[in-house]
Amino acid sequence: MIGALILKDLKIFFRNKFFTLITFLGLAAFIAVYYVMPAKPNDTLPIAVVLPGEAKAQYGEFLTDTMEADLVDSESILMNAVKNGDYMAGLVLTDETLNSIKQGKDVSVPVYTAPGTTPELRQAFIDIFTVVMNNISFDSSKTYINIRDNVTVLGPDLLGIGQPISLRDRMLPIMLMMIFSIELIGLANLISEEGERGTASALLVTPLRITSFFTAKMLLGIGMAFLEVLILAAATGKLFHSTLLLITTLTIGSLLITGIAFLIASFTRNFMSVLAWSTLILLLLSLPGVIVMFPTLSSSWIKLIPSFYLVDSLNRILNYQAGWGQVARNLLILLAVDGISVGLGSMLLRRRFQ
Amino acid sequence: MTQISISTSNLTYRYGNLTAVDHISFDVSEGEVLGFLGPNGAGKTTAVKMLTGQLQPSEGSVTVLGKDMRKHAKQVQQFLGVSFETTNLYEQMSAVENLELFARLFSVKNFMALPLLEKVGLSGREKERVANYSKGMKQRLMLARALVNNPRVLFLDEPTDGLDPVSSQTIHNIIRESSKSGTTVFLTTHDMVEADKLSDRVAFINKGKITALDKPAVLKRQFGKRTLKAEVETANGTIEIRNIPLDQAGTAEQARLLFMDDKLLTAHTEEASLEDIFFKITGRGLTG
Repeated sequence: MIGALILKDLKIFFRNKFFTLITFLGLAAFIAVYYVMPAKPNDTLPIAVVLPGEAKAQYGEFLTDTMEADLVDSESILMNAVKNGDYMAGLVLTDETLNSIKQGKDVSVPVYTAPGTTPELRQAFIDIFTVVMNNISFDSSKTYINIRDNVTVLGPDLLGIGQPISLRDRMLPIMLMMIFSIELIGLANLISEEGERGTASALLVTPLRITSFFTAKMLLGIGMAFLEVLILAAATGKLFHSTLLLITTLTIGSLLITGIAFLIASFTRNFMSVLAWSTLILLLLSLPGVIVMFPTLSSSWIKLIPSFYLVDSLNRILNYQAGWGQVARNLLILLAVDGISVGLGSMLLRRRFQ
Repeated sequence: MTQISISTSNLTYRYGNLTAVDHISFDVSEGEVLGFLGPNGAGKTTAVKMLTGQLQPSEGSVTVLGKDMRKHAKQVQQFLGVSFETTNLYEQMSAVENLELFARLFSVKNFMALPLLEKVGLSGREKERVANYSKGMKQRLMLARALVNNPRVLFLDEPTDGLDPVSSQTIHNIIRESSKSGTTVFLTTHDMVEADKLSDRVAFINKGKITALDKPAVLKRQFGKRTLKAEVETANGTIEIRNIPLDQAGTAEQARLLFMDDKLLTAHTEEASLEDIFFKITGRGLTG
């Protein structure tokens, strides 16, 4: 019976042109996006410096070599370039400033940063500029300056590997979440339609038990979501590290998506309401993925969103080769949330269908 | 000895403070067609939901094929066929796929969809998506779906509502055939003519209560007034309609006068319809 229901749902799902298109297109697009993104971390920070005329010959080469900075002619040109996003930061050094530095005096230097620069990055620029100016000062005054090399890895250095992660790999967990999301809408719509069109009533006056009905939906939901994320993981070559752990995580993640689909289907009446509610919930579920991409945005409240434990686990497994011990806590929390969402969703759906 | 297929005793269902079905009791024998008649909101669909195990009664009992539906609904449902009032087919699938799905749910072995589709007049379009079917075709497919497991009890909720005469006739023929072969038919309708034609007995339900339950002929005798309707041309050339009650002392004399004094143009007997009787019993029409 369960097999017959799953087969029926697959037929209906793939006869819906919208879902078929979005499923295959989404999968292909995510794989393409992954390979289009740079494979290596690109942490070059474009910087511009303004130097007074005579100082260009003396310090120009030093600054362009050490900071990989471009020299620009005036403060106004620098400000416009930073504002337009051509440079992430700009430093203006005048004759007066340079003289003070040479004499080992305290100086105040204008630094410009692009809009949206995170506090951590701003601090990194200040550190770079301080080092450079201290070097100029030491060169002239022979005053010993205590400068320590301070490497900052941007983002959580989860396993202390000290290596930055490429953008495409940082994007992978959010891509997996997006694929889960497409399946969430599809499954929620499939179940909601059973209630709306009365087909669930027709099924439930046969020997089919409601538990079998839910089991079929659950298996379909897990299967569809799991298969797609598995394809993406395989296509990106990430499936082959910690395969069993990754498969386990994706299965638990698929169950979370199924539970949420049950909940959405329990109170939605048509495709538009499914879409509206799913979009709202998906935005929430996607937030932890954004945090992986832009780690400096991280806040503790993000842990209140259940998908955090899925995204965090995927991030650790895919990007940091984490083992069972490092994601076990996350997976246990996720399993508990799965149990609650599937249980509550089934209960509400039972009320709707009976 | 005739077996009882459906038996209810004080069957009641309440939605909050509203009593939708109010202590109804009746039996339906094997092979019998029971017409369950009442206006919209009378409690017909709620009663059917309890009889088919979709709803648990608030009070009373319901036994189908000798089993308590409260406890053994799933066992009994193996032998039920249900056709719903509103279309609830998988419209993205073909007729064959719809029937095959339900055949698998009923564990019907070696199921052949085509003979069944032929029976309901849908052969030739069996592979087309149901979404492209007309209302009549969908209704006939619903009936075919209800017959997939060769049911012992068939519940039909307004099976011909809004259908063309050809579709209605097909469904009527299938109901008669099913009854002849021993299937009990529980026919919910507000079409009195249909109920009169098909039902061995009819039950009137109004405001959740059964107000009358008997053979249509008995109800007509009990509540109806038989008359002879005659069209006559009088001596002065005018045409009159005369209604002569058939069951009164002066009937014979009045009939004789039709031939003596006037020129009789047409004459036929008239019986009260079930609708008239329903109105007489409940004080309301079936469309109300």
